[in-house]
Amino acid sequence: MLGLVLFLLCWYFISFLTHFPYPHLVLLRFLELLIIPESVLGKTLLQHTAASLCRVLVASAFAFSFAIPLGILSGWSRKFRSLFLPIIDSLRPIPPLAWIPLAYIIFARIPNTILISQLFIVFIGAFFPCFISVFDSARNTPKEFIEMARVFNADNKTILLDIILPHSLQGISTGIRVGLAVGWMCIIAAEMIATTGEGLGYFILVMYEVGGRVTEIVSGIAMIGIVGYALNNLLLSFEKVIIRWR
Amino acid sequence: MVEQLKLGEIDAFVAWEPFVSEAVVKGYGRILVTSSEIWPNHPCCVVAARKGLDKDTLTAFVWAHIKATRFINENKNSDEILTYSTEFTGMDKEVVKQALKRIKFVEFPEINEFKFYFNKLKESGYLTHKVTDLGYANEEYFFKDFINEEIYKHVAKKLRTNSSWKPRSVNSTLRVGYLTADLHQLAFYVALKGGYFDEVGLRIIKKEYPNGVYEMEGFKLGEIDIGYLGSAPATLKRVNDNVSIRIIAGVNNEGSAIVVKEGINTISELAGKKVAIPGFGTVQDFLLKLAMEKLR
Amino acid sequence: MALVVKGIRKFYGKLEVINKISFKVRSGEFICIIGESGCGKTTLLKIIAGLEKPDEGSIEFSGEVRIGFVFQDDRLLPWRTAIENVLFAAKSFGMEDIKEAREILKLVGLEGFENFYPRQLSAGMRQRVGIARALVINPSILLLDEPFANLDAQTREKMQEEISKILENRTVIFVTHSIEEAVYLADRIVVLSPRPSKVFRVIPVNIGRPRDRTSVDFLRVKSKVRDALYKAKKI
Repeated sequence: MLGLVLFLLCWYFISFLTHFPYPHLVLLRFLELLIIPESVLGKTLLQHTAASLCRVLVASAFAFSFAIPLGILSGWSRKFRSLFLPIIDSLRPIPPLAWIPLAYIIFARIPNTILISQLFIVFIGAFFPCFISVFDSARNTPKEFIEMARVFNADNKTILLDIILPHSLQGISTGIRVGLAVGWMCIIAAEMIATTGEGLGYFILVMYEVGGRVTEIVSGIAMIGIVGYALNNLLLSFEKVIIRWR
Repeated sequence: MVEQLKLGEIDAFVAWEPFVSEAVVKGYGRILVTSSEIWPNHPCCVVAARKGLDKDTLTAFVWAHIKATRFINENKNSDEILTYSTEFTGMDKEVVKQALKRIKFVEFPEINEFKFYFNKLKESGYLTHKVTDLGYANEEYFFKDFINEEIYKHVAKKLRTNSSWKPRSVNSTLRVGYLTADLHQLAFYVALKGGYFDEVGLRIIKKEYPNGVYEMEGFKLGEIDIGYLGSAPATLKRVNDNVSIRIIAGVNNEGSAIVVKEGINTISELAGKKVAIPGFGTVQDFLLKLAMEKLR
Repeated sequence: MALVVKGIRKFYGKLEVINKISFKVRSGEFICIIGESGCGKTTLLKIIAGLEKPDEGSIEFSGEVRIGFVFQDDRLLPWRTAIENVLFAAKSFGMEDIKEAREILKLVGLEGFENFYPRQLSAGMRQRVGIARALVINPSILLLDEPFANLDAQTREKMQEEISKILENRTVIFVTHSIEEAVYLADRIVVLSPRPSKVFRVIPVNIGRPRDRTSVDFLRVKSKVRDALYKAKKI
C-alpha cells in the first residue's frame, strides 16, 4: 500500500514538472476506455486487451506443450540432451521479434499470415524460458530418489512419471509463469510491428501515430501492467494449490 | 501492403506510388481508381521546416528545391530522372517508370485542398486540439502560419523575372529528414546530385526515417531542421502534439490509387471487403472514404 | 542359507575400497555390519542390493529374491503422503493394496498418519515410513543402511526397540557405526577392517530378547566388539 502511495506521489510530481498527464486524468480516461469504444479504432480497451490475451494464451499453451516434455526428456536422458541442447542454445539468443521477417516467409502460404506470425513470435518467446526452467528442474532431480526407485524395481516409465515429473512441477510452474510473462511482452511488441487491426499493442501504436493522445497511451500501458500482474498472481495461487507438499 | 495483397490477406489497398505501380507491374492487382479521379490536387508530401530558421536559409533551400522540381518536370530530363529514381528507391525500372507517370511533382501544395483535408481530420475526430488551443485566434491565422507561402512566392517571383537568379549564399548547415527510398522525395535526391544546395552554400546532413510519424518525432526532438514528409503526419502531429513546424514548399500532389485484386470491378464491391490503408487520418484514409461516398 | 557373500572386491577408480569380503547369512538371521567410516559398509550393502557391481566376487541368494532397502536419509518422495510412499514400492511388484499398506503403517506405529506429507512428519516418523515401505513388499531380505544415524539419541533407542520387534524372524543385514546398536539388534556382528576392508571377525550375540543394555552379558559383548574394532585397525 505504501509503495502505491509513493508511486502516485512521484507520478504527480513528474506530471507537475512536465507535460505528462496526471494520474487522476489517466484513471478517468482508462475507465472510460474500458467500456466506451475509442473513436479512431472503434473498439474498447477491453476488446483490444481480450484480443491480445487470447493470442498470448493460445500461442503460449502451444509453446508449453512442447517445452515441458522436451525439458523433461532433456533433463532425464543424457543422449537426448546432447542432441537437443545445442540447437536450443543456438536459437535461444535470437530475440523473438527478430523472427518476424522469417515468419512472414515461412507462413506465406497459410491464410492470416500476419496473425500466425504474431502467434509464432509469442511461441518463441514463451518456449525458451519454460524449457530452461523445466530442463533445469528435471536435471536436478535428486539422484537419491532415483536410486531408491531402482532398488524397488521401478522401470524407466515409473521414474519419469512418478519421480522426475513431480519433482519438476516447480520448474514447470515457474516456467509457465515466466513464459507467459515473456509471451505477453512479445505480443504487445509484435502487434506494433505486424499489425492486424486490434490488440493492445496495436492500440498504443495507433494512438501514438495519430498523436495528441497521451492519456490513451498511458491507459494502454497501465493495462499491460495490470494484465501482467494478474496473470502472475493467478499462476502463483494455482501453484500453491497444485504443489501442496512444500 | 503490396505483400499483403499478394498473400491474399487483404482484398485491396489504398497507397501512394510506387507501391501502386509495384503491385500492378508484379501482377498482384490492378488499379481500380486513381486518387486524381477521387480528389483532384489532393496534397501528398510537403517540405516542412522548424520554427526559428532564418529567412535567408529558408530561401536558399526553397530555391534549390524549386530548381530540382523543375528539373524533374522537364521532359528532356526524363531518362536522367528515371536513372535517379531507380538509384534512390532501389526499385525496378518498369515500376518506377509507371509510378512517375502518376506522381505530380509540385512546388507548393494547393492551400484549399489542404484546408479541405484539415476539415476532414476535424470532422472525423482525429484532432485532439483546436487551433485556439495552439494559440491561434482562429483557423485563418493558423493556416497562414502553418502553410507559409511567403518564401515560395518570393523565390517564384524572382525566378519569373530572371530564370538564372540565385539567392544569397548562406554558408550554413541544415539537417534534412526524409523517408527511406520514398519516390516522392525525388526532388531532394536530384538537388543533392545536381549540387544545388552547394550552389547556395548549404551543407546538408541527411537523416533517414522509416515513416512520417518518426520524422515528426525527429522535429520534436530537434534532430532535424527541414523535412520531406507526408501532409498527414505533418498536420496530425502539428496539431495533436503541437510540434511547431511550418510548410514551406510542396513536394507532390496526387500519386495514390486504390489497388484491388482480381474480381473487384467497382467501388461498391469494396463494401465489406478488407481494404488496407497506410494509417488512420492519412490522405489515403480519406481517399477511400471519399471514393465510397462519391463514386459508388 | 539365505545369502552367501563370496569374495567381494570393489575399486573406485584406483582406490580399493573392499578387499575381499565373504560371509554367510542364514534365513531369519539379523546381521549387523560394523566398521569405521569409509570402510565400504554402504558400498557393500549397495552391492548386495544390486545397485552397484563388484569388481570381483559374487552374491548368491537362495530362493526368491525380493530386496527391501531402508536408506539413511529416508528418501521419501515429498509429493506423496506416507501411505502413497509405501504404495510406491509396492507398485513395481504388483502389490498395490491399500489395506496392506495401512496395516504396515500401523505395524510401524504410524496409524492415523497415513495422509501426512513427509514435511509434516518428524525425522523418526519419516524413517518409520521408510521401514514400512521396505516391508510392504514382503522382502526376502531387508537391508538397512544406518537408518537411525540421523536421529537423536532417545528416538534412536526407541526405534531400535521397535525394530527389534517388527523385524523378528526376518533376514536382515543392518549396517551401523554404533557398537551399542549392533549389540542390541544383531544375532551376529560382522566386524570389518578399515579400507580396503575385509571381514576381521564375526561375533555372535547370544543374548535373549528383549535385551537389557545394562546387563553384564550385554556389556561383555560390547567389549568384544570394541576390542575387535581396535585390533582391526592394527592390521
